[in-house]
Amino acid sequence: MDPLDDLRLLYPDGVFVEHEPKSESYWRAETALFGIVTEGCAIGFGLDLEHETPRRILVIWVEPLNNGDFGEYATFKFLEDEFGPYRAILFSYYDGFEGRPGFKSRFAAINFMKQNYPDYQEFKTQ
Amino acid sequence: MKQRIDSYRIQAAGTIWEFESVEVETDADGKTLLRATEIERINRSIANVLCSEPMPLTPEELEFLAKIARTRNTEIAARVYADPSTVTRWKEKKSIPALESEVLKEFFWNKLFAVEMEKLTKKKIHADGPSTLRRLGETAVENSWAGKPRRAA
Repeated sequence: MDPLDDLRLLYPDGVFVEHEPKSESYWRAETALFGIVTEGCAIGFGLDLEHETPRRILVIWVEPLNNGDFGEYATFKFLEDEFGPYRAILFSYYDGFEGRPGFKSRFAAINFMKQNYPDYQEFKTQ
Repeated sequence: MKQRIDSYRIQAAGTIWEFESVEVETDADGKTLLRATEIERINRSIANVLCSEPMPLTPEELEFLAKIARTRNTEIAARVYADPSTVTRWKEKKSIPALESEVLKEFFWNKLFAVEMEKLTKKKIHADGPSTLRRLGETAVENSWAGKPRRAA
């Protein structure tokens, strides 16, 4: 099973973009959302234990459309009940603009994730 | 908690847009969330305005259209018989020639909306014959873009 299946099944009614703080990167994340969901690949996963019910976290990288551009790095958290995930929220987005890190390769995106979020596990492709 | 905001401003394609009515939600942590269905409606409304306006596309507008239509520079370049490096230059703050801009507007509009139009028109052909095709298409599309965004002052 593709780890993005849950996200794709929830799209569009159950997928949200967090809008706080209101920064340019969130506007850009909204423009990119469809591409992230349809063309992204999972590079890592984690667990947010700060809530009563732990939330699954999925880290996605999207290959750049054009040579030389930055790819997109997005992080979603899943809200789940006894029936499974019912909501996915994009809460972190990096695309190399607005002084934010950008990644031209999947390898660079994974390295960033490992360095900054050591709790997250790399998703290894077969 | 759901909430409908009457005058919602968003930043896209190098400008600020004002929407008459946008539904947002607030989660348990007090963060504002925008649903993907609403985001799609916003993006498509902006794209429709950009493709319909008489002015040539700006680099930011071209970038926006390419992004929501998931279109590579090579595909854009092929459409206007240009080199992909020319498209890269356009996106890097160079102006886009008026003729190429018009071709690209039509290209993006077709890519984003033509399938919907086709579905609408085919349905109507089956039901009532071709004479009312255009009117239904226009009405239906008009309704789906109700509350067109405008550039904020």
